[in-house]
Amino acid sequence: MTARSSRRAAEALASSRAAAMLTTLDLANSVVSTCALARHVGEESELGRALANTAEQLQGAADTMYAMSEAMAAMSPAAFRACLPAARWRRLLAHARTAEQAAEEPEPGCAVAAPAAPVPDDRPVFLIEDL
Amino acid sequence: MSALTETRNSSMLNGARAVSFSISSSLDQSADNVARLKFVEGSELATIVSSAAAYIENARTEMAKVVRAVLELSAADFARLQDQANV
Repeated sequence: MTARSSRRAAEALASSRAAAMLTTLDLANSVVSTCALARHVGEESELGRALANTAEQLQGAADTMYAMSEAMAAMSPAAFRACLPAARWRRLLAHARTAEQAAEEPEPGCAVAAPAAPVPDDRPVFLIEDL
Repeated sequence: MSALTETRNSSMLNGARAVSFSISSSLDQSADNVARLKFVEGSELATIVSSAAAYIENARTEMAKVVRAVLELSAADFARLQDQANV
């Protein structure tokens, strides 16, 4: 793995972990809201039972997403890279390359640079907005 | 039943409906987020994603029942449930 590839993998790992943690928080918030509503209606009614079941499944999902963020925290960039499908990795590298080229473009009024290469995919891969 | 009690019951039911819709919408978003996570099959992360997706799908199924139920309830029914729950 080249230094550049390693850097890209580390960035993808960090943003994926952040996104997993955000999803965990969303799910945990839903657990709190569901339990609060369940307390209002009691668990004896059909509505109460459905709310209790929802809360249980939400808690499972939140725990699982938390486990994912912990697994990612323990991963090296190379190990994370090995988990990515080849097509996603290629898109990730292409996106990073395009972003670098855009950053290197001169300020308005400076010499005209060659147009940036076309973006192969308009969606970033494994950035927070993608997750 | 006094007008004040009716207004209060109606307000409580509307609150419960709003919370239900909000949870349901948040669940849809979480399902989308998890569906975008693609890892090599058989990897540890792929296994975790698959498990999270199953939990979320189950939660969505149960939440659909909740949304249906709160829409069918009248304000008086909801108040009775609250009374039984001793809220």
